[in-house]
Amino acid sequence: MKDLKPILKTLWKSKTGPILLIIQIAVAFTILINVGYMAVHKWHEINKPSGLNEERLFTFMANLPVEPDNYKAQLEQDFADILELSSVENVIATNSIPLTSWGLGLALNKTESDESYITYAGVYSMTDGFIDTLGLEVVMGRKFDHAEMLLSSTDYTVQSSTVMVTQAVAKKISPEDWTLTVGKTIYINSRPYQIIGIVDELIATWPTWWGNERSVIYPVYTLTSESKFMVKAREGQLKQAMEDVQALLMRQPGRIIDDYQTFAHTREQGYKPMVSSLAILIAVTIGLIVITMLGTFGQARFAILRRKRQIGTRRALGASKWQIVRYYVLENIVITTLGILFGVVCAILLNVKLMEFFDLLSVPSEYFLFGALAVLVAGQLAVIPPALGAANIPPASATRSI
Amino acid sequence: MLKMRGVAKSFVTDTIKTQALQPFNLDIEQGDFISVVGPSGSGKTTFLNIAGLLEAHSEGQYYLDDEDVTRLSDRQKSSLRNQKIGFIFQSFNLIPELNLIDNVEMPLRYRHFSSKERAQRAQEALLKVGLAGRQTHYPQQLSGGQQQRVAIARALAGSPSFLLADEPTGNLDSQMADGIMSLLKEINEQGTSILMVTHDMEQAKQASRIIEIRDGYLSEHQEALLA
Amino acid sequence: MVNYYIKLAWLSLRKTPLLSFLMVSTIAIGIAAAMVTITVGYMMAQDPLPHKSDRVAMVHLNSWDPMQPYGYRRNGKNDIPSTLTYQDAMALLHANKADKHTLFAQFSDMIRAASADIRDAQLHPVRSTTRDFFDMFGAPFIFGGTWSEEADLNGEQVIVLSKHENDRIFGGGNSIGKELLIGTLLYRVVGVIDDWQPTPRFYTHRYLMYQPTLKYFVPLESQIRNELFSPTSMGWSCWGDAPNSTLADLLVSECVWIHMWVEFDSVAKKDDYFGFMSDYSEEQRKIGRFARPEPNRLMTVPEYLKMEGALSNENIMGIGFALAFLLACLCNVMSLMMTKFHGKGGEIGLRRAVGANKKDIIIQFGFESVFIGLVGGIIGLLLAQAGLSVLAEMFSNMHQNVMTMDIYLMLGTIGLAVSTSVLFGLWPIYRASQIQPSSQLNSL
Repeated sequence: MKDLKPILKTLWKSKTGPILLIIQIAVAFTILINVGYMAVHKWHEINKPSGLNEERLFTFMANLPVEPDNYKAQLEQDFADILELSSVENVIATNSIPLTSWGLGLALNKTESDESYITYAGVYSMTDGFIDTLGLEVVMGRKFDHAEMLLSSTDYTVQSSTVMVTQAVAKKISPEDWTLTVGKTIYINSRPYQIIGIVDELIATWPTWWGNERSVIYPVYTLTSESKFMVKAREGQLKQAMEDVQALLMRQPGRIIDDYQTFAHTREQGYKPMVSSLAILIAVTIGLIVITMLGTFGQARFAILRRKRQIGTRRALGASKWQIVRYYVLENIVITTLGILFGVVCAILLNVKLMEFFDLLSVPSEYFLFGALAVLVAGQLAVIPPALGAANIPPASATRSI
Repeated sequence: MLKMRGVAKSFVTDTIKTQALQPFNLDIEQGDFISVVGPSGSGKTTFLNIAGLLEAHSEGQYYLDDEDVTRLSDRQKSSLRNQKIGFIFQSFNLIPELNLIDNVEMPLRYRHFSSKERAQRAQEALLKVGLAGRQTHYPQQLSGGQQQRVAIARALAGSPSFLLADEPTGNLDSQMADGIMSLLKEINEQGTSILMVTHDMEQAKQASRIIEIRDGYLSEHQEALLA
Repeated sequence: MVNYYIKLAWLSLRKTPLLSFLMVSTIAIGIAAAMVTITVGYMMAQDPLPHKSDRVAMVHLNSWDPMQPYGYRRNGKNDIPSTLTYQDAMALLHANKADKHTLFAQFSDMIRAASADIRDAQLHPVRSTTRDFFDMFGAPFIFGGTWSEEADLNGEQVIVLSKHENDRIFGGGNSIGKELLIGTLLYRVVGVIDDWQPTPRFYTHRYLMYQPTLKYFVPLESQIRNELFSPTSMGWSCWGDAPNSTLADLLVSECVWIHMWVEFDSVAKKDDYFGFMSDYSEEQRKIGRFARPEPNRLMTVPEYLKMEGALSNENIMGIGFALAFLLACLCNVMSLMMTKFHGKGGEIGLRRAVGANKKDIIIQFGFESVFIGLVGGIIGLLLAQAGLSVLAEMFSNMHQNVMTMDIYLMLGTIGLAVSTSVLFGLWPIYRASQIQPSSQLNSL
């Protein structure tokens, strides 16, 4: 530590280089902390469980090429035909397919008045067999009865009087003990519904919504000229099932099929913008660290070039190589620490701004700790090559003019 | 043409005042060839820097062609250096990435000559030092002696009143050194004054006057003593 | 003299290849990062109707449920629907109080040339609208034009298609008068529009603003008369108990689903129109509708884009991060320039000795930093193009226009590189000009 005083003195004497480096480190640290936090946040969003057995599902939109009076019969016939295929295990129709960004969201309230708002939730209306088809797990209460699961020509929100919710919604309704939620009544659009069961997980349709683990399921399905289907293939027969179902449906004249794809594909498409953002955030982070390391490297080299003679003199006077290296390592620690200190202040200020914009929580303190550690290590890695170079300056250069 | 009255130089740091040059008087006339000798650290280079307007003196008056240069601005001094003084250095100080003609032309660029006039003067200067026809070579393609000749051509290109040479043969072997010395004498005979710092007594004696600087004191050797 | 300084800058750059490479590439990377984000932000924030965006406005009527608001805006205030019920849309259209009116919705169906085999039919979304759509939003015709007023009134089966589809189906010729089948209905081509992509596609919802324009356009009335209905892609919002599972249900319901835009000859007429909208609401209130307190909205293009957040916070943050990154890069470059100019102390000393004054030195090194900025800017421009095409690949759901630089942005890129490198070169240059000639002459 006896080096510390001469280091501070030298830094003070030629300030520009160190100040520039401190700014770089502060900027890098500020961005690193916030971007790192956002990246981790995005990572969790992208890897959120959907609650579905994704590898066996495929989905599509198809019309019911008959008059409105026959919609019910046609849909039931389609189900029966599809279930006859040996490659298919189960099939349902739904108002909205998870992660496709197309669907309805509604506010849940405790009473008729919208003042008693609980949460916003993604809305599903599905046909009988959805628990098995999607691979959901009922963790509390019961499934819908067959009698509850109607195919109706009127709005499902009007026809239904019961709902199932996801565990995330249950926790919103009864924060103290979510298991008490079963049997409670909630109000949606001023209409009461009794919660009869809770499923573990079922992701809502919007990949970018941070609350998309919150879903509510109605037992009634509204018939229209078009339906969205979700099909569960038998183990290992996804491809076969997709071919079979398409061939089967297209036998009927006037049939239109669209968006025919595996759920894995839907998931990938849905999260693509977020994955891209994550990639960009990571690229920014790496770029910043590289630039900062280059800056550190350049600054150290510059300083050493300037002091070549001085270093030679110190060597001639008996300083060991290790002592020379230690000097520059210590100098780098001083500069980096100053940069980090400024960076911490900026990072907190930026975080406050970002919280206003993005509903983000404040960055946890361990990010600061790990961030500082990462910047220090990066700085050391960058300073060691020039420091070793300095240690190899021959003592004779003291006596030679340069 | 060069007149110094009571010129002195001192450096002041936080605690100490160092007298680098004690007050002295000096006159240099057109056609003089003056050697400056003395042990290292005695103040030779400081003297040369003051004479060449590269450093300001701290006391006294310095007249160049009857003009008092003591109070001139940096810009005016630059212009005076450009027009009246030619510099020759121990390590030649040629710019390696420029070819010979560009090196020689350099002072003329700061005088805003036309490219035609620059080229003509630079060629003449190169001819004078015996390097005509090598304009497009680069300094590192030449021997040390040749490089110093280019530096002399650069100093001559602006037709200065006098040349300042700081150990011009210090980096050369004796044969090349002799060549440079005879070139300088030749230039001197054509009327250009020369002020040359050297520590080689043999060379010093080839000048018409010898000034010795010792511990900051400047004194002129009488010719009688030298003979 | 300019040539000389450019030559010196070039020679100087070549003399220290590693240092020059570091400087140029650092600037290039910083500039590229900044310009990629700025390009996306700039293109997203463009005025899509530069000549009349303040005379074209979107009509929002508060016909919503008396019991609870349509939704909440970001600031927590109650929102009102941005689309209209069929009955309100028709009432305002027929009142004919603005200079031009555009209503639109959409549906999807199988489309093919009348002469083509049924297996060649493709499912396409179709824009159902009124005849002023093309003129109001600036869609350019290459053949024919929009349909007649009668076609709007009577729901004639006429169609306008895009150049892309005209090329695909009719081989690119003048196809006016030729026929297409939408499902089983025969539609006659009356116009072909050129490839056209307003950026942002301001007339729709925020989440559709950077998506490609639709390729087929038919009169809204023809959708209604033929009951063309696509519940899984049309999108509507309902309240109350009314059924809405067929188009006929939708027409008589309180569900909102039709977009409405109006255009005025002069900005002054906008206030009159808003007055008319208020009168309409008042009338409706008398018959028991429009019971909510929130006022209607008549929003010009810039107002609507601002409300919808066409330029998202995420874009602004991206630009901020990229500019901070550029700052870090420039600090680095400044450091490198200090090193570079420090290494030229000998040359500076010599030039000062032979008569260069401080200004000459400043000019020489000024040229050098301009040169570094210029080279860095050009490479940065290329890197930015590469970055934008990677981005276009990543965000393939967005239209290419958002990720394409126009000429101003390209010049801006070079300008930013040069100006920042000069700005961050000022201090190193000043330091270089202050070098004492006498101290440097033995070390060239």
